[in-house]
Amino acid sequence: MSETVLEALGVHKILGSGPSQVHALKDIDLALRGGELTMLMGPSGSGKTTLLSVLGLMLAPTAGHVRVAGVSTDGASPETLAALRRQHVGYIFQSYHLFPTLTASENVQLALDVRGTYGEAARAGAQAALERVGLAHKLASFPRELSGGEQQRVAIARAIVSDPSYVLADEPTAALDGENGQAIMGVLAGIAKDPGRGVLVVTHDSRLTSFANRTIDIEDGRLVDDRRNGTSSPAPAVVNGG
Amino acid sequence: MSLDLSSHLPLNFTLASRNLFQDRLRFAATTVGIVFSVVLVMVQMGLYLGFGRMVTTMIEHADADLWVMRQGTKCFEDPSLLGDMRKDILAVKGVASASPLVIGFSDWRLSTGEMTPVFLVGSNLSRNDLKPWNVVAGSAKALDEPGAVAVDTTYDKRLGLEGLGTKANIRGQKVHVVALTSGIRSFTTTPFVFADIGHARKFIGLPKSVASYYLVKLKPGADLQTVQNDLKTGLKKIDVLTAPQFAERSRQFWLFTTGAGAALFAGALLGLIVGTVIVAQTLYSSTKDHLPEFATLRAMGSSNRYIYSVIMYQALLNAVIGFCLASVIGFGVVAITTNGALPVTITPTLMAAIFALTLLMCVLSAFAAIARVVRIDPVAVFSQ
Repeated sequence: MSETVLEALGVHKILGSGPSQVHALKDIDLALRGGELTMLMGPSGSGKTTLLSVLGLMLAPTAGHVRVAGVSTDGASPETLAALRRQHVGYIFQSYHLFPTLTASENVQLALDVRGTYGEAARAGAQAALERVGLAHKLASFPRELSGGEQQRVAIARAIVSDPSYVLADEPTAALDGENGQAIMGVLAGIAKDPGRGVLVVTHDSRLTSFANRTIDIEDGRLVDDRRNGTSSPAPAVVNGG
Repeated sequence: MSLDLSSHLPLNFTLASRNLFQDRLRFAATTVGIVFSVVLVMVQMGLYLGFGRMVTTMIEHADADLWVMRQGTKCFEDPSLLGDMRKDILAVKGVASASPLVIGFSDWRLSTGEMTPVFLVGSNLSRNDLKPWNVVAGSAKALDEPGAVAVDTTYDKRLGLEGLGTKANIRGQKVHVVALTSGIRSFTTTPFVFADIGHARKFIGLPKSVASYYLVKLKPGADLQTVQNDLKTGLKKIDVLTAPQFAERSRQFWLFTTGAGAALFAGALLGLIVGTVIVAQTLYSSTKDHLPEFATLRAMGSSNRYIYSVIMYQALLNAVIGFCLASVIGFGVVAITTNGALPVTITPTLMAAIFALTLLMCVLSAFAAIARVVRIDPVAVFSQ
């Protein structure tokens, strides 16, 4: 059985203060296991991005606990959270966020560089990651020379090159056409086959659920459904993966 | 076969350099700002060094262990006079010789009637007390002829020089040029005129018994400090200084008491401030433009230190490029002024100091940009 790579227990997140205060996440219990591709779906403003930020260790929960590969993040400083992100998290963004002045290879190497892996080891790692996403022939291309689908593949390579415990993807296909979107999801599903790595994809597109092992719905800051391979449980079901 | 240098450089350096060169207009503006600033500092400090050398050049070229002068003499050009005290000086134990030296202003009048002030330096030319150096035409030995003088080619137009043999009048007495020197310039821009002490006294209008200085040489084995103290205590109303002490006193007077040095330092400081502000402003705006990238780096788990290194590399690149260009201009200024009345002197030490200052200026400038990046929230990547 695959191990749990990420756990959220009783997580609440309150954003802002005073009259503009928003209770963005309410009592979230969630576990991601390695070897699974999990989809997180919900309408705009439902708390998807906030949940992604908390699970990605960019935001600390107002209450509750987040454990990464068995390590508690309670009370961690911003630098400690950054160190945990380096060690365990790979990010894929809707608008790729590639560095326009760096080549595809350098963009991927950057993820290793911030982790202290330089030189030939970084170049070889970047090349292997780009080969894995089918871009071995675009190592020296700059982002402006790549299509949207290719840029997203570079972003995926950047997310997996450091062999993270889990990959978080925020609307990775939103900026792509249907064909490219399907292709990218295929790549992510392939990455999720690694039993040591979990993948969580935030999306609006219900057509992509066929790639997922599991789908979670979020509404108004609460997880309301958690189903795997076509099964469904009524809200607010226990959403611990397993 | 091409060499891809970027593949051998740290990636944070590659990112910094590409970000820097991406916006060429901003890079050009920053470089111009740094070059302006560094050239200003270089010229001001070069003038300071040049002036510092000019005000001590006579002292450094005189053959003396000790200088005896009237008490309170401020600099070499000070017109204070001493009475005849040669015998008293020679009477002090350890003194081998004491030669009088006279200095003073006078007028150089050409046959056309044009007149310019000059500064006479008269010494005992039979000894090596203070002879003209860097002689490029004629001979200093000919200065013992009546009316013979040596002048510097720097002032050829002001003195109406037409080479050796040029005739003029000083204080109503005919003089002719027997030696031409190169690079003996005066801080006051008044041309130096070398003459034998006997002739110089007449040109300045001094009686035979007075001197501006006595140049003292010590006997072999005599202790400098002891002789200096004995001269001070044995003779009244005099100062006795070693050459380095007198040079320092002259420098202090001309460069600080008169405010000339302070003005040069103020100019250099202004250059540093202008440079710092320009670099800070452009680095800050560059950093602001690249905030999404820094937020992405932060989201990827990069440490703050890594992000600072990118900004610092940009600042240091700015410094190195700006300094190199400024150095080319600086050496051009040195070449242009080298034979002029106000030479800019740039030494290796000055270059090293200015390079360090340039680095410091750019590093300080980076702090505003770093302060902006410190506040960055990695969550910002989701809103872009």
